[in-house]
Amino acid sequence: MSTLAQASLFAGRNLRRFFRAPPALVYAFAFPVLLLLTQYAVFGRIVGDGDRQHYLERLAPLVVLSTAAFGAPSSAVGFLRDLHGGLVDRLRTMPVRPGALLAGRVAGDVLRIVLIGLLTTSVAMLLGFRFRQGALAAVGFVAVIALFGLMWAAIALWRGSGPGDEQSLPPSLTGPATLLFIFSSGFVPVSAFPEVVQPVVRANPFSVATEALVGLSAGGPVLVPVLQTAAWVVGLGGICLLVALRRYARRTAS
Amino acid sequence: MSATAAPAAGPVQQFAVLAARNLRQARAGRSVGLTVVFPLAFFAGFMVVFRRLMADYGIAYEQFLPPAIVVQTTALVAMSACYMVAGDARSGLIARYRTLPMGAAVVPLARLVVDAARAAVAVAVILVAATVVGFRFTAGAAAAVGFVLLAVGFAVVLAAGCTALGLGARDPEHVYSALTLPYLVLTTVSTAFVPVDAFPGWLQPVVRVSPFSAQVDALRALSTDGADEAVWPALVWLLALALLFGFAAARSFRRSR
Repeated sequence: MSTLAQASLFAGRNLRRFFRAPPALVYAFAFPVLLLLTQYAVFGRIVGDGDRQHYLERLAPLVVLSTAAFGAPSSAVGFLRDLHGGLVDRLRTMPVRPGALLAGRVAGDVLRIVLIGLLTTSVAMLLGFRFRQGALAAVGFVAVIALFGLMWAAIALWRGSGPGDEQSLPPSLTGPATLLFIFSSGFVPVSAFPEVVQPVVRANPFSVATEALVGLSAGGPVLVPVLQTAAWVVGLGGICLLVALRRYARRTAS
Repeated sequence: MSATAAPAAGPVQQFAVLAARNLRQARAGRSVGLTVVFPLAFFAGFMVVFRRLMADYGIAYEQFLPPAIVVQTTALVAMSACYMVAGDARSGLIARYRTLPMGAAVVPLARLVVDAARAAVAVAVILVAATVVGFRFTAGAAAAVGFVLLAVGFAVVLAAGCTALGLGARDPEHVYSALTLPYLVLTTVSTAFVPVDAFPGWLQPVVRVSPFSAQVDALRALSTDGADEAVWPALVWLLALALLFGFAAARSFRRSR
Protein backbone atom coordinates (compact mmCIF):
# COMPACT_ATOMS: atom_id res chain seq x y z
CA MET A 1 0.00 0.00 0.00
CA SER A 2 1.48 3.32 -1.02
CA THR A 3 1.98 6.18 1.42
CA LEU A 4 -0.69 8.10 -0.47
CA ALA A 5 -3.24 5.32 -0.06
CA GLN A 6 -2.41 5.05 3.62
CA ALA A 7 -2.70 8.80 4.10
CA SER A 8 -6.08 8.92 2.37
CA LEU A 9 -7.25 6.07 4.61
CA PHE A 10 -6.38 8.15 7.66
CA ALA A 11 -7.98 11.25 6.12
CA GLY A 12 -11.15 9.26 5.50
CA ARG A 13 -11.12 7.98 9.06
CA ASN A 14 -10.80 11.49 10.47
CA LEU A 15 -13.60 12.82 8.27
CA ARG A 16 -15.88 9.90 9.21
CA ARG A 17 -15.21 10.54 12.88
CA PHE A 18 -16.03 14.21 12.32
CA PHE A 19 -19.32 13.43 10.54
CA ARG A 20 -20.35 10.83 13.11
CA ALA A 21 -20.27 13.12 16.16
CA PRO A 22 -23.56 15.01 15.74
CA PRO A 23 -23.10 17.67 18.47
CA ALA A 24 -19.63 18.61 17.25
CA LEU A 25 -20.85 18.50 13.66
CA VAL A 26 -23.76 20.87 14.27
CA TYR A 27 -21.42 23.17 16.13
CA ALA A 28 -18.80 23.11 13.35
CA PHE A 29 -21.33 24.13 10.71
CA ALA A 30 -23.60 26.36 12.79
CA PHE A 31 -20.90 28.47 14.43
CA PRO A 32 -19.50 30.16 11.29
CA VAL A 33 -23.00 30.70 9.88
CA LEU A 34 -24.19 32.33 13.11
CA LEU A 35 -20.96 34.32 13.34
CA LEU A 36 -21.53 35.66 9.82
CA LEU A 37 -25.20 36.52 10.43
CA THR A 38 -24.64 38.20 13.80
CA GLN A 39 -21.59 40.26 12.81
CA TYR A 40 -23.37 41.31 9.61
CA ALA A 41 -26.43 42.46 11.57
CA VAL A 42 -24.54 44.08 14.43
CA PHE A 43 -21.68 45.88 12.70
CA GLY A 44 -22.88 46.16 9.08
CA ARG A 45 -24.27 49.62 9.43
CA ILE A 46 -21.51 51.19 11.52
CA VAL A 47 -18.50 49.52 9.88
CA GLY A 48 -19.90 49.53 6.34
CA ASP A 49 -20.57 53.26 6.72
CA GLY A 50 -24.28 52.75 6.16
CA ASP A 51 -23.82 50.12 3.44
CA ARG A 52 -24.18 46.55 4.75
CA GLN A 53 -23.32 44.95 1.39
CA HIS A 54 -20.04 46.79 1.38
CA TYR A 55 -19.24 45.27 4.78
CA LEU A 56 -20.34 41.81 3.62
CA GLU A 57 -17.72 41.84 0.82
CA ARG A 58 -15.00 41.76 3.48
CA LEU A 59 -16.76 40.08 6.40
CA ALA A 60 -17.80 36.96 4.45
CA PRO A 61 -14.21 36.08 3.41
CA LEU A 62 -13.01 36.66 6.98
CA VAL A 63 -15.67 34.40 8.49
CA VAL A 64 -15.00 31.73 5.85
CA LEU A 65 -11.30 31.83 6.82
CA SER A 66 -12.09 31.76 10.53
CA THR A 67 -13.62 28.29 10.11
CA ALA A 68 -10.05 27.06 9.60
CA ALA A 69 -8.92 28.58 12.89
CA PHE A 70 -11.95 27.65 14.97
CA GLY A 71 -11.76 24.02 13.80
CA ALA A 72 -8.14 23.71 14.92
CA PRO A 73 -8.85 22.98 18.62
CA SER A 74 -10.87 19.83 17.96
CA SER A 75 -8.33 18.74 15.40
CA ALA A 76 -5.48 19.25 17.88
CA VAL A 77 -7.38 17.26 20.52
CA GLY A 78 -7.97 14.51 17.95
CA PHE A 79 -4.26 14.26 17.22
CA LEU A 80 -3.48 14.29 20.95
CA ARG A 81 -5.81 11.31 21.38
CA ASP A 82 -4.15 9.51 18.46
CA LEU A 83 -0.76 10.00 20.08
CA HIS A 84 -1.68 9.03 23.62
CA GLY A 85 -4.72 6.81 23.16
CA GLY A 86 -2.85 3.86 21.73
CA LEU A 87 -3.40 4.38 18.00
CA VAL A 88 0.20 5.31 17.32
CA ASP A 89 1.48 2.34 19.31
CA ARG A 90 -0.80 0.02 17.37
CA LEU A 91 0.40 1.47 14.08
CA ARG A 92 4.01 0.76 14.98
CA THR A 93 3.26 -2.96 14.82
CA MET A 94 1.93 -2.56 11.29
CA PRO A 95 3.65 -1.75 8.00
CA VAL A 96 2.44 1.86 8.06
CA ARG A 97 4.78 4.44 6.62
CA PRO A 98 5.89 7.20 8.96
CA GLY A 99 4.12 10.38 8.04
CA ALA A 100 0.99 8.73 6.65
CA LEU A 101 -0.93 9.51 9.84
CA LEU A 102 0.15 13.16 9.77
CA ALA A 103 -0.52 13.54 6.05
CA GLY A 104 -3.96 12.02 6.60
CA ARG A 105 -4.68 14.48 9.42
CA VAL A 106 -3.70 17.44 7.27
CA ALA A 107 -5.68 16.23 4.26
CA GLY A 108 -8.77 15.51 6.37
CA ASP A 109 -8.55 18.92 8.06
CA VAL A 110 -8.20 20.79 4.78
CA LEU A 111 -11.15 18.93 3.26
CA ARG A 112 -13.29 19.69 6.31
CA ILE A 113 -12.28 23.36 6.27
CA VAL A 114 -13.09 23.70 2.56
CA LEU A 115 -16.49 22.01 3.08
CA ILE A 116 -17.47 24.33 5.93
CA GLY A 117 -16.04 27.27 3.99
CA LEU A 118 -18.22 26.45 0.99
CA LEU A 119 -21.34 26.23 3.19
CA THR A 120 -20.54 29.56 4.83
CA THR A 121 -19.92 31.13 1.41
CA SER A 122 -23.34 29.87 0.25
CA VAL A 123 -25.02 31.51 3.24
CA ALA A 124 -23.13 34.72 2.46
CA MET A 125 -24.44 34.54 -1.11
CA LEU A 126 -27.99 34.38 0.25
CA LEU A 127 -27.24 37.69 1.99
CA GLY A 128 -25.92 39.17 -1.26
CA PHE A 129 -22.25 38.17 -1.44
CA ARG A 130 -21.18 37.78 -5.11
CA PHE A 131 -18.27 36.48 -7.21
CA ARG A 132 -17.69 39.30 -9.70
CA GLN A 133 -14.35 38.14 -11.13
CA GLY A 134 -15.42 35.04 -13.05
CA ALA A 135 -15.26 31.30 -12.55
CA LEU A 136 -11.48 31.01 -12.47
CA ALA A 137 -11.30 33.53 -9.62
CA ALA A 138 -13.96 31.54 -7.76
CA VAL A 139 -11.75 28.45 -8.06
CA GLY A 140 -8.86 30.52 -6.78
CA PHE A 141 -11.09 31.59 -3.86
CA VAL A 142 -11.50 27.95 -2.82
CA ALA A 143 -7.78 27.32 -3.35
CA VAL A 144 -6.88 30.16 -0.96
CA ILE A 145 -9.26 28.71 1.66
CA ALA A 146 -7.48 25.35 1.29
CA LEU A 147 -4.07 27.04 1.52
CA PHE A 148 -5.09 28.89 4.67
CA GLY A 149 -6.57 25.65 6.03
CA LEU A 150 -3.21 23.97 5.47
CA MET A 151 -1.58 26.43 7.87
CA TRP A 152 -4.15 25.78 10.59
CA ALA A 153 -3.91 22.02 10.08
CA ALA A 154 -0.16 22.33 10.71
CA ILE A 155 -0.80 24.50 13.79
CA ALA A 156 -3.22 21.86 15.10
CA LEU A 157 -0.54 19.14 14.66
CA TRP A 158 1.98 21.31 16.48
CA ARG A 159 -0.37 21.96 19.43
CA GLY A 160 -1.69 18.39 19.52
CA SER A 161 1.80 16.89 19.67
CA GLY A 162 3.08 19.25 22.34
CA PRO A 163 2.58 19.58 26.07
CA GLY A 164 -0.94 20.30 27.23
CA ASP A 165 -4.04 18.22 27.80
CA GLU A 166 -7.54 18.07 26.36
CA GLN A 167 -8.69 20.79 28.77
CA SER A 168 -6.01 23.36 28.11
CA LEU A 169 -5.58 22.87 24.35
CA PRO A 170 -8.81 24.41 23.00
CA PRO A 171 -8.63 27.78 24.80
CA SER A 172 -4.94 28.12 23.92
CA LEU A 173 -6.00 28.11 20.25
CA THR A 174 -9.39 29.86 20.31
CA GLY A 175 -8.08 32.77 22.40
CA PRO A 176 -5.38 33.89 19.94
CA ALA A 177 -7.65 33.04 16.98
CA THR A 178 -10.37 35.34 18.35
CA LEU A 179 -7.89 38.19 18.76
CA LEU A 180 -6.53 37.68 15.22
CA PHE A 181 -10.13 37.70 13.95
CA ILE A 182 -10.88 41.03 15.67
CA PHE A 183 -7.58 42.63 14.67
CA SER A 184 -8.04 41.94 10.97
CA SER A 185 -8.86 44.10 8.00
CA GLY A 186 -11.94 41.98 7.32
CA PHE A 187 -13.57 42.89 10.62
CA VAL A 188 -13.12 46.66 10.34
CA PRO A 189 -11.13 48.69 7.78
CA VAL A 190 -7.44 49.19 8.57
CA SER A 191 -7.97 52.98 8.67
CA ALA A 192 -10.27 52.65 11.71
CA PHE A 193 -7.44 51.24 13.85
CA PRO A 194 -5.03 53.50 15.78
CA GLU A 195 -1.95 54.22 13.64
CA VAL A 196 0.40 52.21 15.88
CA VAL A 197 -1.64 49.04 15.42
CA GLN A 198 -2.16 49.39 11.67
CA PRO A 199 1.06 47.60 10.58
CA VAL A 200 0.12 44.66 12.84
CA VAL A 201 -3.37 44.58 11.36
CA ARG A 202 -1.95 44.63 7.83
CA ALA A 203 0.47 41.77 8.57
CA ASN A 204 -2.15 39.62 10.34
CA PRO A 205 -2.53 36.34 8.40
CA PHE A 206 -6.31 36.78 8.55
CA SER A 207 -5.96 40.20 6.91
CA VAL A 208 -3.73 39.12 4.02
CA ALA A 209 -5.86 36.03 3.31
CA THR A 210 -9.03 38.15 3.52
CA GLU A 211 -7.56 40.64 1.02
CA ALA A 212 -6.77 37.72 -1.30
CA LEU A 213 -10.35 36.41 -1.06
CA VAL A 214 -11.81 39.90 -1.54
CA GLY A 215 -9.66 40.32 -4.66
CA LEU A 216 -10.93 36.99 -5.99
CA SER A 217 -14.62 37.76 -5.29
CA ALA A 218 -15.57 41.45 -5.18
CA GLY A 219 -12.38 42.58 -6.89
CA GLY A 220 -9.08 44.20 -5.97
CA PRO A 221 -5.41 43.24 -5.74
CA VAL A 222 -4.85 39.49 -5.87
CA LEU A 223 -1.18 38.68 -6.50
CA VAL A 224 0.39 40.44 -3.52
CA PRO A 225 -2.10 39.22 -0.87
CA VAL A 226 -1.94 35.67 -2.26
CA LEU A 227 1.87 35.74 -2.02
CA GLN A 228 1.64 37.15 1.52
CA THR A 229 -0.80 34.38 2.45
CA ALA A 230 1.54 31.80 0.93
CA ALA A 231 4.42 33.27 2.93
CA TRP A 232 2.45 32.81 6.17
CA VAL A 233 1.49 29.26 5.22
CA VAL A 234 5.02 28.26 4.26
CA GLY A 235 6.64 30.11 7.16
CA LEU A 236 4.39 29.48 10.15
CA GLY A 237 2.78 26.31 8.79
CA GLY A 238 6.18 24.93 7.81
CA ILE A 239 7.71 25.52 11.24
CA CYS A 240 4.70 23.98 13.00
CA LEU A 241 4.82 20.97 10.70
CA LEU A 242 8.56 20.43 11.22
CA VAL A 243 8.20 20.60 15.00
CA ALA A 244 5.24 18.22 14.88
CA LEU A 245 7.18 15.80 12.66
CA ARG A 246 10.14 15.81 15.05
CA ARG A 247 7.90 15.21 18.06
CA TYR A 248 6.09 12.45 16.19
CA ALA A 249 9.35 10.81 15.21
CA ARG A 250 10.56 10.95 18.81
CA ARG A 251 7.26 9.55 20.04
CA THR A 252 7.37 6.61 17.63
CA ALA A 253 11.08 5.92 18.12
CA SER A 254 11.03 5.47 21.89
CA MET B 1 -11.77 -0.01 71.31
CA SER B 2 -14.53 2.46 71.73
CA ALA B 3 -15.74 4.01 68.54
CA THR B 4 -16.39 7.66 69.15
CA ALA B 5 -18.27 9.03 66.20
CA ALA B 6 -17.10 12.43 65.06
CA PRO B 7 -19.74 15.02 65.77
CA ALA B 8 -21.89 15.51 62.67
CA ALA B 9 -20.95 18.64 60.76
CA GLY B 10 -23.60 21.34 60.82
CA PRO B 11 -25.05 22.73 57.62
CA VAL B 12 -22.80 25.78 57.76
CA GLN B 13 -19.72 23.62 58.00
CA GLN B 14 -21.00 21.37 55.18
CA PHE B 15 -21.57 24.41 53.05
CA ALA B 16 -18.08 25.76 53.79
CA VAL B 17 -16.43 22.48 52.80
CA LEU B 18 -18.34 22.23 49.52
CA ALA B 19 -17.88 25.89 48.63
CA ALA B 20 -14.14 25.66 49.26
CA ARG B 21 -14.00 22.58 47.08
CA ASN B 22 -15.87 24.36 44.26
CA LEU B 23 -13.49 27.29 44.49
CA ARG B 24 -10.49 24.98 44.21
CA GLN B 25 -12.15 23.32 41.20
CA ALA B 26 -12.63 26.71 39.54
CA ARG B 27 -9.03 27.69 40.21
CA ALA B 28 -7.64 24.42 38.87
CA GLY B 29 -9.75 24.40 35.73
CA ARG B 30 -9.74 26.78 32.85
CA SER B 31 -12.33 29.12 34.31
CA VAL B 32 -9.92 31.85 35.44
CA GLY B 33 -8.60 32.25 31.92
CA LEU B 34 -12.10 32.11 30.51
CA THR B 35 -13.82 34.47 32.94
CA VAL B 36 -11.00 36.95 33.65
CA VAL B 37 -8.28 36.86 30.98
CA PHE B 38 -10.54 36.38 27.96
CA PRO B 39 -12.97 39.24 28.80
CA LEU B 40 -10.01 41.56 29.46
CA ALA B 41 -8.41 40.70 26.12
CA PHE B 42 -11.78 41.03 24.40
CA PHE B 43 -12.39 44.40 26.06
CA ALA B 44 -8.98 45.72 25.04
CA GLY B 45 -9.45 44.42 21.50
CA PHE B 46 -12.90 45.96 21.08
CA MET B 47 -11.73 49.30 22.48
CA VAL B 48 -8.87 49.43 19.98
CA VAL B 49 -11.00 48.27 17.06
CA PHE B 50 -14.19 50.26 17.59
CA ARG B 51 -13.30 53.39 19.56
CA ARG B 52 -12.76 55.48 16.45
CA LEU B 53 -15.69 54.07 14.46
CA MET B 54 -18.06 54.54 17.41
CA ALA B 55 -16.82 58.07 18.03
CA ASP B 56 -17.74 58.83 14.40
CA TYR B 57 -21.17 57.38 15.20
CA GLY B 58 -21.47 59.68 18.20
CA ILE B 59 -20.80 57.16 20.98
CA ALA B 60 -18.10 57.36 23.66
CA TYR B 61 -17.16 53.69 23.59
CA GLU B 62 -15.14 53.77 26.84
CA GLN B 63 -18.43 54.53 28.64
CA PHE B 64 -20.66 52.42 26.38
CA LEU B 65 -18.70 49.17 26.23
CA PRO B 66 -17.85 48.18 29.86
CA PRO B 67 -21.46 47.24 30.81
CA ALA B 68 -21.52 44.99 27.73
CA ILE B 69 -18.26 43.31 28.74
CA VAL B 70 -19.67 42.85 32.25
CA VAL B 71 -22.75 41.08 30.85
CA GLN B 72 -20.60 38.98 28.53
CA THR B 73 -18.43 38.01 31.49
CA THR B 74 -21.40 37.01 33.66
CA ALA B 75 -22.56 34.76 30.80
CA LEU B 76 -19.11 33.15 30.67
CA VAL B 77 -19.15 32.59 34.44
CA ALA B 78 -22.50 30.80 34.05
CA MET B 79 -21.21 28.71 31.14
CA SER B 80 -18.15 27.58 33.05
CA ALA B 81 -20.45 26.65 35.97
CA CYS B 82 -22.32 24.40 33.54
CA TYR B 83 -19.05 22.82 32.48
CA MET B 84 -18.01 22.13 36.07
CA VAL B 85 -21.43 20.79 37.11
CA ALA B 86 -21.53 18.50 34.09
CA GLY B 87 -18.11 17.18 35.07
CA ASP B 88 -19.30 16.56 38.64
CA ALA B 89 -22.43 14.80 37.38
CA ARG B 90 -20.39 12.56 35.09
CA SER B 91 -17.72 11.72 37.63
CA GLY B 92 -20.38 10.61 40.11
CA LEU B 93 -19.58 13.28 42.67
CA ILE B 94 -23.18 14.57 42.77
CA ALA B 95 -24.45 11.02 43.28
CA ARG B 96 -21.88 10.58 46.06
CA TYR B 97 -23.11 13.77 47.74
CA ARG B 98 -26.59 12.27 47.86
CA THR B 99 -25.44 9.36 49.99
CA LEU B 100 -24.10 11.74 52.63
CA PRO B 101 -26.20 13.13 55.49
CA MET B 102 -26.35 16.65 54.11
CA GLY B 103 -29.11 19.22 53.89
CA ALA B 104 -30.80 19.19 50.47
CA ALA B 105 -29.95 22.82 49.81
CA VAL B 106 -26.25 22.59 50.64
CA VAL B 107 -25.02 21.34 47.25
CA PRO B 108 -26.86 23.86 45.03
CA LEU B 109 -26.17 26.69 47.48
CA ALA B 110 -22.43 25.96 47.52
CA ARG B 111 -22.52 26.05 43.72
CA LEU B 112 -24.39 29.34 43.37
CA VAL B 113 -22.54 31.20 46.12
CA VAL B 114 -19.22 30.28 44.54
CA ASP B 115 -20.53 31.37 41.13
CA ALA B 116 -21.59 34.69 42.66
CA ALA B 117 -18.10 35.13 44.11
CA ARG B 118 -16.47 34.29 40.76
CA ALA B 119 -18.76 36.75 39.01
CA ALA B 120 -17.96 39.47 41.56
CA VAL B 121 -14.22 39.00 41.04
CA ALA B 122 -14.57 39.02 37.25
CA VAL B 123 -16.78 42.14 37.33
CA ALA B 124 -14.34 43.92 39.64
CA VAL B 125 -11.43 43.19 37.29
CA ILE B 126 -13.37 44.50 34.29
CA LEU B 127 -14.37 47.66 36.16
CA VAL B 128 -10.77 48.38 37.14
CA ALA B 129 -9.64 47.94 33.52
CA ALA B 130 -12.56 50.08 32.32
CA THR B 131 -11.67 52.86 34.75
CA VAL B 132 -8.13 52.89 33.35
CA VAL B 133 -9.43 53.66 29.83
CA GLY B 134 -11.88 56.33 31.01
CA PHE B 135 -15.05 54.64 32.23
CA ARG B 136 -16.69 56.48 35.16
CA PHE B 137 -19.64 55.93 37.48
CA THR B 138 -21.35 59.28 37.09
CA ALA B 139 -24.61 58.37 38.82
CA GLY B 140 -23.37 58.12 42.39
CA ALA B 141 -22.29 55.43 44.80
CA ALA B 142 -25.72 53.88 45.36
CA ALA B 143 -26.18 53.34 41.62
CA ALA B 144 -22.68 51.86 41.42
CA VAL B 145 -23.55 49.36 44.15
CA GLY B 146 -26.76 48.59 42.26
CA PHE B 147 -24.65 48.00 39.14
CA VAL B 148 -22.53 45.35 40.84
CA LEU B 149 -25.50 43.69 42.56
CA LEU B 150 -27.48 43.51 39.32
CA ALA B 151 -24.49 42.10 37.42
CA VAL B 152 -23.81 39.43 40.04
CA GLY B 153 -27.54 38.64 40.32
CA PHE B 154 -27.71 38.09 36.56
CA ALA B 155 -24.67 35.80 36.73
CA VAL B 156 -26.29 33.70 39.49
CA VAL B 157 -29.59 33.39 37.62
CA LEU B 158 -27.83 32.38 34.38
CA ALA B 159 -25.66 29.97 36.35
CA ALA B 160 -28.79 28.35 37.78
CA GLY B 161 -30.07 27.82 34.24
CA CYS B 162 -26.72 26.46 33.08
CA THR B 163 -26.56 24.20 36.14
CA ALA B 164 -29.90 22.70 35.16
CA LEU B 165 -28.44 21.91 31.74
CA GLY B 166 -25.15 20.67 33.12
CA LEU B 167 -26.80 18.24 35.55
CA GLY B 168 -28.64 16.58 32.70
CA ALA B 169 -25.63 16.47 30.39
CA ARG B 170 -23.43 13.45 29.96
CA ASP B 171 -20.51 15.19 28.27
CA PRO B 172 -19.22 18.54 29.59
CA GLU B 173 -17.46 19.36 26.30
CA HIS B 174 -20.61 18.91 24.23
CA VAL B 175 -22.90 20.93 26.45
CA TYR B 176 -20.25 23.64 26.62
CA SER B 177 -19.92 23.87 22.81
CA ALA B 178 -23.69 23.80 22.51
CA LEU B 179 -23.94 26.76 24.87
CA THR B 180 -21.52 28.89 22.85
CA LEU B 181 -24.09 29.20 20.05
CA PRO B 182 -26.86 30.86 22.14
CA TYR B 183 -24.10 32.82 23.89
CA LEU B 184 -22.90 34.21 20.56
CA VAL B 185 -26.40 35.11 19.40
CA LEU B 186 -27.69 36.51 22.71
CA THR B 187 -24.66 38.69 23.41
CA THR B 188 -24.38 40.10 19.89
CA VAL B 189 -28.05 40.48 18.94
CA SER B 190 -28.56 42.94 21.78
CA THR B 191 -27.66 46.52 22.60
CA ALA B 192 -24.35 45.30 24.05
CA PHE B 193 -21.98 46.39 21.28
CA VAL B 194 -23.98 48.83 19.16
CA PRO B 195 -27.16 50.85 19.80
CA VAL B 196 -30.45 49.42 18.58
CA ASP B 197 -30.70 51.80 15.59
CA ALA B 198 -27.59 50.23 14.04
CA PHE B 199 -29.47 46.95 13.48
CA PRO B 200 -31.54 46.19 10.36
CA GLY B 201 -35.10 47.45 10.88
CA TRP B 202 -36.71 44.00 10.99
CA LEU B 203 -34.31 42.85 13.70
CA GLN B 204 -34.77 45.87 15.98
CA PRO B 205 -37.88 44.51 17.79
CA VAL B 206 -35.92 41.34 18.62
CA VAL B 207 -33.03 43.40 19.94
CA ARG B 208 -35.41 45.48 22.06
CA VAL B 209 -37.02 42.52 23.87
CA SER B 210 -33.79 40.61 24.48
CA PRO B 211 -33.05 40.00 28.18
CA PHE B 212 -29.41 40.77 27.39
CA SER B 213 -30.41 44.20 26.05
CA ALA B 214 -32.47 44.81 29.19
CA GLN B 215 -29.51 43.89 31.36
CA VAL B 216 -26.98 46.00 29.42
CA ASP B 217 -29.35 49.00 29.27
CA ALA B 218 -29.95 48.79 33.02
CA LEU B 219 -26.21 48.62 33.75
CA ARG B 220 -25.65 51.61 31.48
CA ALA B 221 -28.33 53.54 33.33
CA LEU B 222 -26.81 52.64 36.69
CA SER B 223 -23.33 53.67 35.61
CA THR B 224 -24.16 56.80 33.65
CA ASP B 225 -27.65 58.30 33.97
CA GLY B 226 -28.71 56.98 37.36
CA ALA B 227 -31.44 54.46 38.18
CA ASP B 228 -34.27 55.34 35.82
CA GLU B 229 -37.00 53.39 34.03
CA ALA B 230 -34.32 51.45 32.08
CA VAL B 231 -33.71 49.37 35.21
CA TRP B 232 -37.23 47.92 35.43
CA PRO B 233 -37.10 45.57 32.38
CA ALA B 234 -33.88 44.10 33.75
CA LEU B 235 -35.43 43.49 37.16
CA VAL B 236 -38.53 41.89 35.61
CA TRP B 237 -36.34 39.64 33.45
CA LEU B 238 -34.17 38.80 36.44
CA LEU B 239 -37.17 37.76 38.50
CA ALA B 240 -38.76 35.77 35.67
CA LEU B 241 -35.53 33.98 34.79
CA ALA B 242 -34.79 33.34 38.48
CA LEU B 243 -38.13 31.57 38.85
CA LEU B 244 -37.76 29.64 35.61
CA PHE B 245 -34.14 28.61 36.01
CA GLY B 246 -34.45 28.05 39.76
CA PHE B 247 -37.32 25.65 39.14
CA ALA B 248 -35.43 23.92 36.30
CA ALA B 249 -32.27 23.58 38.40
CA ALA B 250 -34.16 22.18 41.38
CA ARG B 251 -35.92 19.71 39.11
CA SER B 252 -32.82 18.40 37.39
CA PHE B 253 -31.02 18.24 40.72
CA ARG B 254 -33.77 16.01 42.14
CA ARG B 255 -33.68 13.86 39.03
CA SER B 256 -29.94 13.47 38.71
CA ARG B 257 -29.42 10.26 40.55
